[in-house]
Amino acid sequence: MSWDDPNTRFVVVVNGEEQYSIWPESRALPAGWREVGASGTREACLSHIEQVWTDMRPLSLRHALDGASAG
Amino acid sequence: MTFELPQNGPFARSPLSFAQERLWILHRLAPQDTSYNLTRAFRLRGTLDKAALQAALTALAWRHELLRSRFPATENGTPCQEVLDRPVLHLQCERLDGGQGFDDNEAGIARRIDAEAARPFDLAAEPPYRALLLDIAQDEAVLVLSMHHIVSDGASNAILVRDLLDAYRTAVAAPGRDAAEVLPPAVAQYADYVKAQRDALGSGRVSQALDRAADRLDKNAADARTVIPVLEIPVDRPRDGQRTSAGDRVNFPLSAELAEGVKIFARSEGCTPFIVLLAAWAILLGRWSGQDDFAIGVPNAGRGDEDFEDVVGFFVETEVYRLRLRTGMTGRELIQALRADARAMLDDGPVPFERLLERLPAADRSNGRTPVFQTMVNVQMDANAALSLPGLAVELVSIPEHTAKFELSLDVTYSASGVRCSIEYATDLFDRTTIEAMGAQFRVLLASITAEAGRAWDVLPMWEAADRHVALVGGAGPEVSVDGSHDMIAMFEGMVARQPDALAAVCGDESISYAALNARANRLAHALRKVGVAAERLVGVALPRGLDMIAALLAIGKAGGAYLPLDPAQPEARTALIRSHAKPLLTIDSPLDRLLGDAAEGEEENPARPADKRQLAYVLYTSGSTGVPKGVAIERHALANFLAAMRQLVPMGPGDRLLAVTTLGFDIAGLELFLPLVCGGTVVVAPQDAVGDPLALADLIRRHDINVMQATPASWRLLLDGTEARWPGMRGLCGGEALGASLAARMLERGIDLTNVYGPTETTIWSSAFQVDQLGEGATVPIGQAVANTRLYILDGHMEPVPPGAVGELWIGGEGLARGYAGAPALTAAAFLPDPFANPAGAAGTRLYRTGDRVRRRSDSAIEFLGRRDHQLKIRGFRVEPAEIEAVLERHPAVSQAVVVPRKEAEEDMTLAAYVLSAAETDSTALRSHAASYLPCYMIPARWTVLDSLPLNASGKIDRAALSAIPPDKALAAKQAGPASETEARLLALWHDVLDRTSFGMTDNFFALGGHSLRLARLQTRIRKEFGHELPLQMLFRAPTVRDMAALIDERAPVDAAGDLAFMRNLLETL
Repeated sequence: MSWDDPNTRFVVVVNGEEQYSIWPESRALPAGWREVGASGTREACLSHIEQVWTDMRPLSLRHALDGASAG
Repeated sequence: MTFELPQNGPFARSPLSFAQERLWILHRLAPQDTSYNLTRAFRLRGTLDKAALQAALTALAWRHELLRSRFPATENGTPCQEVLDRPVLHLQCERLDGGQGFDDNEAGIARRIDAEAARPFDLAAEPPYRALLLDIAQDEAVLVLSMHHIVSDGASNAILVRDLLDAYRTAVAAPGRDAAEVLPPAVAQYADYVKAQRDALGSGRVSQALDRAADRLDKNAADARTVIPVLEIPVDRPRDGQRTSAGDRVNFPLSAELAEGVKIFARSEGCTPFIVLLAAWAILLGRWSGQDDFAIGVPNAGRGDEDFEDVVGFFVETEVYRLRLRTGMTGRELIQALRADARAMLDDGPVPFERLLERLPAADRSNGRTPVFQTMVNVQMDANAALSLPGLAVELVSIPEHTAKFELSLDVTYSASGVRCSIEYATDLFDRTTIEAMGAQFRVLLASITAEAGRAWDVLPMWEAADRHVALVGGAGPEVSVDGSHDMIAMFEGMVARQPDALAAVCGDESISYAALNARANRLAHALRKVGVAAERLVGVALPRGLDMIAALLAIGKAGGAYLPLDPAQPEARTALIRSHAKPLLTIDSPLDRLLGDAAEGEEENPARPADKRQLAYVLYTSGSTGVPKGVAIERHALANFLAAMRQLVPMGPGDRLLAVTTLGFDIAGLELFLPLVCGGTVVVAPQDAVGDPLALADLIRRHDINVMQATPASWRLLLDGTEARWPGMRGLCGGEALGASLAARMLERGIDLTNVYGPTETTIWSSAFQVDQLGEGATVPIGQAVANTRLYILDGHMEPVPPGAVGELWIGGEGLARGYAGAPALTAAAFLPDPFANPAGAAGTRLYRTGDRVRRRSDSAIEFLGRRDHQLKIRGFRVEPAEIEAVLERHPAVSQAVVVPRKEAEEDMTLAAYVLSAAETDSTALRSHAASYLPCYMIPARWTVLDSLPLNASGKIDRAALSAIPPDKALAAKQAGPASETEARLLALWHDVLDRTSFGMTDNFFALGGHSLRLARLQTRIRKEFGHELPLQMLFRAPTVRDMAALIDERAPVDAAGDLAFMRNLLETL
C-alpha cells in the first residue's frame, strides 16, 4: 500500500518520547513504536493526533524540566 | 570519382509517404545528422567479379525505383520524390592498406566502415544509395552498402540482399548484359504504396482507425483527455535542447531459462513475449522516472498489402502505447491492458503515425524532445540466412552503431542461438554504467513479473536484497560524538574564556570582542530571566542586522529560552500572523541599550546552563500549505549537532572571518552567526543596506579580508555579476536552492573553494554537502552526502529504497530532526514518520522527515536534487508554498479563486505566475499591491493572468500544467494582437497562408495553432522568397511566434551574393 494512496489505512502510533505519528496498518511497526488503538484513513488518524497530542515536548524533556522545577 | 547528375527532367515525381515526410523534415533540420543512415557491410571471400557487382548494384536501382530517387522540395516547400530515368550509383573501390597485422587490418576496416556510416546524404541532390568496396587482400573484400532510411527499412534488408545476390549471379553468368535487364521489373513500386496510403486516408477505415487510436492515446488513467507527459528519465548529463545523435549500445543476453520463462508465461497469459518485454520495460522506466503516465513507440513492419512484400522502401509504421500505471496495478493487469491495445491496433490496421500526431493534443514541439514518445521497444526475429554466391563466401560484418535516434530504446532479437537484448542510449545524456544498471534491473524485473504477476508494478522486485542493504547503509553520514559540552552557548562561552580579547563580531563601524559580547549577552540574559524567559519560552527578535541582534540571540539561549526571528523587513501583516501563532513571551525590537538601561550592573556572569539538551533553541516560521506559515521547532541538541558537523566540513578558528549576509528569517543564518562564534573566528555582519548590493559586499569582503561566506545561488550570482573581483582560497558555501553548473563554474573561476549544501529547515539548516572540486556534467551540482550523524534515504512511494540511479524521494533521519511544527500536531505527525531503518538496539523509536524532494543517487554516490514532489518550491532560496499566496489573493474581494504556479525563466531563475478567477473587470496592478501588503517580495507573482474560468483535470482539481500554457494577461495580449512592424505584417500574411487560418495574435505559438514541422518547412521556403533570408529550420523552431520570428528576420542581413546565386539556382531547379 502506498503512502499517498487515499485507500491506505493507517494506525496512530507513538514512540518512547511520546511523539505521535502514523503508520500503514498492513506493515510491521518499526522498533520503538507502539499503537495507541486508533486507526482509519490518513486524515482520520491525523485528526485524532491533533486532539490527543497536547504536549509536544518529548517525554525526556518533560521529565527533566519537571525535575528541575521540583528541585 | 565524380559523375554527372542528371540535370534535366522531366522526371517522374510523386509525393512522399507520411513517414518519409517526417524523415525529410528531420534531415532538413539537421542535414549532418547520420542517425537515419542504414549501413550494411558484407565480407566477400573468393574471386570477386567487380564488373558483375557494379552491374548488380545498378540492377537493384533499376528494379527498386526508390534507389534512384532524390527528394527535393517543390516550389511551395513540400517535399517530393523524383525518380531519375536511370540509376546513378557507382561502385567506389578503395584499397585498404597501411595495416601490418590482422588486428590492424580489422581496426582499419572498422574505421573505414564507421567513416562511411557517418557520411551524410544530400537527399535533395542525389539518390541516398551508395556502395563502397574495400579491397583487403587478394581474395578478400568488404562491401559497404549505405542508404538513408527514407528509402529503406529493416524488412527491406532481406529483399536487398536476395535481389543483390540474384543480380550478381545473373551478371556473372551473362556478362555484358544491360544492367536494366539483369533483374525483372518489380510488380509494385513504393510510389504505389504512397498513392494507396494517401487514398486510404480519404477512406472511412483509416479515418475511423485514426479516431480510435487518438482516443486510446488521449486519455490518462482517470479517463480525462490530457497531453501524454514527456518521459523524464533521470539523466547523467543535462538535456540542453541541443542533443546530438551520438549513441551507443549496451548488449546483454537473456539466459535460456529466463527466455523460456517469458515464453511460457506469455502463453499462459494469452499474449506474445513482446507484450511481456514491453511491460517490463515500461515498469523499469516508470520506476526510474517516478512517472506513471508516458508513451512507448513500437515499430511495426507495416507491409499490410502483399504487393509490397518484395519492395524496398520505408514501410515501417510506428505504433504508440500509452502507459497508465495506476496505483496498485498488478503486472498481470498491465499486461492485459497492453494486450488489449495491441489487439485494437491489429484490428484497426496500420495508421500513419504522422497523421495520428496531428490528432493528439498539441504538446510543445519546440523543446527539442521527440513528440509523443521518447523511448522505443523493438522486438524482432533474426532471419539472417546463410549467404552464398558462385565462387564467393559472403558474411555479414557487424557494425557498431554510434548514433541513437531516441534517448533510450530497447531492441530484443530472437534467433536460433538465443535472445539478445540491446539498449541503445544517447551518450550525450547517459553514462554506460547507468545503462548497464538498467539492463541488470530489466532482467530482474522480467523474472519477477513472470514469477509474481499478481504483485503491483511498483513493488515487483527489480534488484537483489544485498544491493538494497548496501543502498540503505550508504546513506549514512559519519558518526560523531556530540554531548552537552557541544551546546552552542557552552561552546561560545568556552571561546570567551580562551580568547576574551579576540574580535567576535563586526558590523559597519562597530566591533566587539568575545568578552564584551558575552558580557552584553549575559546582562540581557539575566534581564530576560527576570521577566520569565526560561526553557521552552519564545522570545521574538525583530532587530535590524547588527551586533545587538547577535547579543540578543546569545542572551535568549543563555536564559534557556528559544528565539523566534521576526524580520523587521517583512510586511507587518505576515509578522503579525506569525506572532499571533507563536505567541512569544516578549519581542526584542528596540536597541539593547534602552532595554538594558534598567538592568542591574554587574550581572555579567554566565547564567547557569540549561537543564536539557532537548529544550528548544529556536522556532522558525516557513511558508505553509494551509496559507498559515508553520513554525519549525529546533531543539538545542540539533543545533549543537549541526555546528559540530559543520566544524568538520568548514573548519574555522581564530583569525577566520565569515561574512554573514542572510536574513535571520532564513534558518541558514544560524550557520553564519554561530559557526564563527563557537570556533573562535569573527562574524562580519553585512548591514541591511549592503545585503543586496554586490559592490558593498565586495567592499566588505576586501576590507575585512573575508575567507568564509555562505549565500544562496541567487546571492552569489548577484555578487559575481556585480564585480570582477577574485577571492582565491575563500571558502564558499552555497545552498538554499539548486546550484546550477554554470554558476558553480563561475565561482570556481573566481578562486572560491566551493561547497554545495542542502537541507530543509526541518532537519536543521544543512543535512548534506558536496565539495565541488571539479565540475561534472550535470545541469546542477549534486547535493552530495549526509553530514555527521545524519542519514539520507531515497525511497519510493512504499517507503522502500530505490536502486542507485533511480528517482526517489529523500527522507532524512538523525540528530538534526526538528521536534516538529510548533502547535501543529497533525502536520508534525504527517511529516515526521516512524523510522523503519533505524538500528533497533534500545532505540526509543526514531523518526524520519519526509522532505518531498525528488532526488537520485549518481554513480559516484553523490545525491542529485531533481525537484519538489509537490508544488512547494523555492524562490531565490526562500521556500514558497503557492497555496499560501493563493490564500492571500483570495482575500481580495474581486477574486473568487487564485492559482499560483512556478515559471522557470532561465537557469535558477524561478518566478511565479498567478492565474486569477474573477467575474469583475479586475486590474492586475490592484491585485499586485494587495499581494504586496501581505507577502514578502519573493512571494509576489511576476506574471498575472485574469481568467473567467480555470482548467480542471479528471479529479476536479486545477490542471496546473494546462495553466502554464495560457499566455499572461490575455486582455493585454489582445490589445497587442496587431502587427507592430512592416516585417510582422508581411510575416503574418505568410502565417495565414501556411496555417490556413487568420484569427491569432503576434505572440501565439505556431505549434499551438496547428502548425507542424512540415508547415514550418513551408514557412521557411515562403520566408526565403518573401524576405530573401535563409533562416535555418532549427532557428525557426525556437522562435515560434510571429513576433519572435519577425525579430529574427530583422536581425538578419540579406543573404550574401554567393548564397543568393546558389539560392536562385536552387529555385530554378525546383521550378
